[in-house]
Amino acid sequence: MEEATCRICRTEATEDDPLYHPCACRGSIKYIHQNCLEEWLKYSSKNSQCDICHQKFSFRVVYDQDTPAHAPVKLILQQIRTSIDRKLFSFLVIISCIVCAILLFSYTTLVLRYSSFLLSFSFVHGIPTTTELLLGQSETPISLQEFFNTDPAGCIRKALVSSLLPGFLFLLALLILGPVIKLNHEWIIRETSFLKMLHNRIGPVHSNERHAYVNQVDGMRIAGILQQIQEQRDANHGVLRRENVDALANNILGITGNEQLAEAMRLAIENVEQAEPNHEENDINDENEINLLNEQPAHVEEGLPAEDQDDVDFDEPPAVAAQNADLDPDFRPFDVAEEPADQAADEPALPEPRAQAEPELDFNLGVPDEPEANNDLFEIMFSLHPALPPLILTAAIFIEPVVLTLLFIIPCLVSFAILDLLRPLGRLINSIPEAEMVTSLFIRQPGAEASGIRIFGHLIIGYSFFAFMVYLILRKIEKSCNPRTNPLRKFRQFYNIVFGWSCTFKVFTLLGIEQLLFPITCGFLMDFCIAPVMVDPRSTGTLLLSQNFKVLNHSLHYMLYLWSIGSSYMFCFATFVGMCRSHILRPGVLFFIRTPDDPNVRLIHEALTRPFFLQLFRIFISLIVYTIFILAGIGSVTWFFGLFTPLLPVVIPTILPTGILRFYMSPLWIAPALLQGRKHKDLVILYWKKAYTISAARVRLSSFILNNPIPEERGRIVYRHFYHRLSATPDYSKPMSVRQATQHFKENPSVNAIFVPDGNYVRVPDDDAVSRKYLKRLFVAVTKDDNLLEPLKEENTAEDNSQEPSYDSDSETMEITTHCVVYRPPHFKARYISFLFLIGFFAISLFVSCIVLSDLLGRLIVLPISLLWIHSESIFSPRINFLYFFIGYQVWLQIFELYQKEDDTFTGLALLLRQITENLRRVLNTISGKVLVVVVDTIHLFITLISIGLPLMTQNSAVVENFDMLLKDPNDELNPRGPLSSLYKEVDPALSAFPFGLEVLGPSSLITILSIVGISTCNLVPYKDGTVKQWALLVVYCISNVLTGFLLNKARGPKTILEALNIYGWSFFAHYVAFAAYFTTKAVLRYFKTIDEQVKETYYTSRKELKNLDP
Amino acid sequence: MPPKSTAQRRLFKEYQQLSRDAPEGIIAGPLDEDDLFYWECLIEGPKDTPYENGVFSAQLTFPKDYPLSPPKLKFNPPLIHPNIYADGTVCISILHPPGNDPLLYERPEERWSPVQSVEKILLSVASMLAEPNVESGANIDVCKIWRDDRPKFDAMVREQVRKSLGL
Repeated sequence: MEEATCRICRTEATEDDPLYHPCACRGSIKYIHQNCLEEWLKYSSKNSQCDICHQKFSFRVVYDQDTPAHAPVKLILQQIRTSIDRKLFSFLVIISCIVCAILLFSYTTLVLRYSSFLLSFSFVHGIPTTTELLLGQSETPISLQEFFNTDPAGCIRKALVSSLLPGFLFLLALLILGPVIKLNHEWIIRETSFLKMLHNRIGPVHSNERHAYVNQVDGMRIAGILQQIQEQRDANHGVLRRENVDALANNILGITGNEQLAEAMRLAIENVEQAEPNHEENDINDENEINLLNEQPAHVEEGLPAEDQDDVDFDEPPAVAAQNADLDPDFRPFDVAEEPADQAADEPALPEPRAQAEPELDFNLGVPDEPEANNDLFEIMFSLHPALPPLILTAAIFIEPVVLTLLFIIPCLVSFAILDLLRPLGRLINSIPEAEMVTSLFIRQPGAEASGIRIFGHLIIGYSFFAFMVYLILRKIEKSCNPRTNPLRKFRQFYNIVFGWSCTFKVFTLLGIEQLLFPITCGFLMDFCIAPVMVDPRSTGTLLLSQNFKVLNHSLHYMLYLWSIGSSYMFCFATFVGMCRSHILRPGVLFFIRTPDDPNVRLIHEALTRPFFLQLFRIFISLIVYTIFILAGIGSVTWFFGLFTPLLPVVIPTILPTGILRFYMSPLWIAPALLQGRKHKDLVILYWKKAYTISAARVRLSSFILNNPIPEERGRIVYRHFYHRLSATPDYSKPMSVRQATQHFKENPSVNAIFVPDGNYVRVPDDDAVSRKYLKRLFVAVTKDDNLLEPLKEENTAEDNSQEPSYDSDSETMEITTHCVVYRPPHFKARYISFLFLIGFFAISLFVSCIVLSDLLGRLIVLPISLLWIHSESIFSPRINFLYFFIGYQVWLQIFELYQKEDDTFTGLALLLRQITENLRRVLNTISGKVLVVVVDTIHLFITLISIGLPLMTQNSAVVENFDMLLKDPNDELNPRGPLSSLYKEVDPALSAFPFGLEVLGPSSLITILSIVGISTCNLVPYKDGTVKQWALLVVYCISNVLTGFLLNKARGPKTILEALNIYGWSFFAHYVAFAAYFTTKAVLRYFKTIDEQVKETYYTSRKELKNLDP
Repeated sequence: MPPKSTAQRRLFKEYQQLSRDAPEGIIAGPLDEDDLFYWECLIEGPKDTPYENGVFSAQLTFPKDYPLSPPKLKFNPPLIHPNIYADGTVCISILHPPGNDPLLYERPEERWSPVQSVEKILLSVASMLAEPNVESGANIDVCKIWRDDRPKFDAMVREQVRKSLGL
């Protein structure tokens, strides 16, 4: 047996340097010296873990022998003090941040208040939101006295909220919008089509004038070349060869395509060369010459017009600029060698890294001031300079009013001015009585209060006016030049900037309409459509769901609500379309709808190049389509069921919270169902395939929709008499024309039906990509072999090939020649519409049957349990119950899943049970499962404490009763009491004689049982691999549980099961206290231990020793 | 002669070990016992490969901080192989310094660590000769030939082997 050696230095253990085995490695690499390990760890700069077995190395601190077991108390206290001192400064900084933020927010609110005063000549009262401050208040304001009288306790909170929140939200919006617009702008000016548009409007760039950011990139490359020259010069002992100069000049010409630049370069280098022989021996001159060489880029750049340099500045993305500023204050793209700084200052050519001037970015960028900017937010907070927050505050105080005036007040004032000019016209319109309402929204009456929509309208008018002015100015500049013969020179830079920003706002407006306004409109329709599902429109008299929720009166909240339901509808619709497209439909049927995976789609590019009003029109058209889909597909069904059947509105169990919270909770219940639904995608696709096949066959569109040519569909059947439709089938092998058929009927009395082919073949696109041009005209009648039935007119083809008449259109759209030929029956449009109706019918029947069947199944499952339940009436109510639906739906899904696997349903059911238990166990083992258990546990504690503990203490059921009334569902007419009614029934002395039965076990006891199961699982799971100590803790926990229960039993003597459960609740509470005490003590002890260790490490000699890992 | 630095000590130990029981087909050792940082090795071509019957000489150059950083191995004369550069330097994961590969080609366990040794390097090289790894090839031309025209590759290697043996 060989002696153990260190795995790094291969030597044995010595007296001073013993061998350790700190990791799980065995064999020849088991042992290691501590020194060798430390050296290796330092060298490899890896985490402190073995690179073979990945075992973490652990060290322990070994103190000298004279070290006491515990540090003296005095030293410990001193240590605590220093650690507090160190943190105090950081706390001061944080406090100054908070104070400044509060001041900033309230100041912003103040500014907003004044701006709204300026516009409406009246202050906004009460607790306005940001939008109300900006756009004015539509509700009747409450007076200040009323404001303080209504809720004296909450008025401080209200005052704080009303003074801070609007400012905060306004600043937040600016902070988000500003960078987003800037980013959008960056994207646009980098878009190649933008340059092309510019080119089309004002002609090519002047010969030695190039777009600035290109220059910058070129500059970098030229800098690299200059470096090369320098190196070559060094290598050749200061002599540059002629051919090298030429090669380099050509190189630069290649990069920039700019002859002048290349020529300047060549000359400059030649100068260097000429200068060379004269000063060859002189070191000082040599240095001069390096400077000369370094000056080259400056010389080269000087050849460019100075205005171009502004553009460099302008084009540099703020992020990059800021980064440069942070990383290297002397960053210059042209800084080849160690150029003296003063020389650089003389050159106008060098783009300076620009500090962001916008106030909202100040707030952002001011933070990473320290050289070692850390990602950790807290580190940044601690390293913040204390003077920075007040500085930002001061800057904001001056900048904010300016920003607000520019963005908000001036457009409004402009709109006022315009409308004042138009007032005579308004009077004219006002003479028509119906128009009065519309015009009064916009025509400003002196002294009239600014209502939200009115100011919004003014803003739109103001901004449109500005946009129009900018458009006029741009047109004027464009007219002064000819793109081909006389490109623009004079205002070129100005035009570049204005055009860039106007394009940005065009794209931003379009995207905003698409992403915000569109979903909000859809949401409004959905709000109407789902109203009968949630509330009874007959009793409440409301058309919109949101009318039933007071919270939604806040306009911002209402918009958010509309947006969220609208976009979730759009998401579902898009998912459905995507599913149909990829699994069912013939490619090319939906060629007019964009596929998300179309590689040719460039949103910004399209928004940029297509004309603004054309795009608005397209959005409007698709909005109409969506409206029809929502109203016909959803609204008709829900309103039908809501008005004419007792199924709606849905009953939502009282376990869920009431009011708007209940509404927002419902996604939490639906989301898992949707997620599980993904697993059953195949099933859904199967259903839709069937539905599509049936519907398409009905209207003879199988070939067109599904690319499934069915010969029988290629014609209609002519019958002898109407009643022969029932029995006769034609001979498909003998198609005839109608005339032949009538002849045939006369000749052959036995034939009652004849197949008459009609319709024709058409060319259709065979791909879903939108942005393509088809070289051949589509949707024309052809033969089966793609030959035209009749020659196309010449202008038709021409028109087809110039789809986009605008001169901004680009030739990049792919021109494709492929298409396919499918059968098109006569009356194609009518057939297509009826096909859509059929699909709609299938969709409705899928949803309705799914909901009704799930509800029924859920009822069957809950029936035995509900007999014990207090609200057993709800099981027989015809209204759809959310809880039953949810349970039933889950069970259906499980059954379907098994059905997919197993044909035998009975084994399936057995498997189902097993799967449910397995799933439950898996869920409990995951983190979310533990969270769930903890949540259930907390709910249990809460309920036991409040509903059981309080009345037991006070012997007063009134507390519970009040609490119960709070929990009660106001819409629930069936039960006059809430979910806790069972509890005060028991405690109420009048009812104490009531014999306890199973019906007394209300929801609370169920939750109790649930949480007993939950807490034990929760406790068992982490203790599974635990040590003896944890097991002991569990035992103590159980014993104390029993003991507390026993003692309380002794004291009171349980009369009912409920009371026994109450006592369990108390014992439970005792555990929480015990646990809290245990963990607090542990934490305090740990803190003292770390302090003790810190002290010992500072005041006594110690070293770290590697810990051996025992097998 | 007691070696002074860790590197020298370790190299000396490794040399002792290798000369005591060397693996089959591999001979290695320092040219000069005073300079332990420069070794000469002879590797026999593995059986059933075109390298069969060949004996290839290579130089191992150790850095001063060995075994923290890996040595360099260079075949002299250069060997035709997908993982050997045209100048003879061997490209193999065990010879790459530790740290995470940005391209995630090699796992950290495959790279150099002080746990490895000269013996393991030479064994890896021998197995590399038998099974080239064209995924991360060093000599792209040879890689192409190896992948597209195996008989040509075999012939080239055999020719080289013959030449090296002086036939």
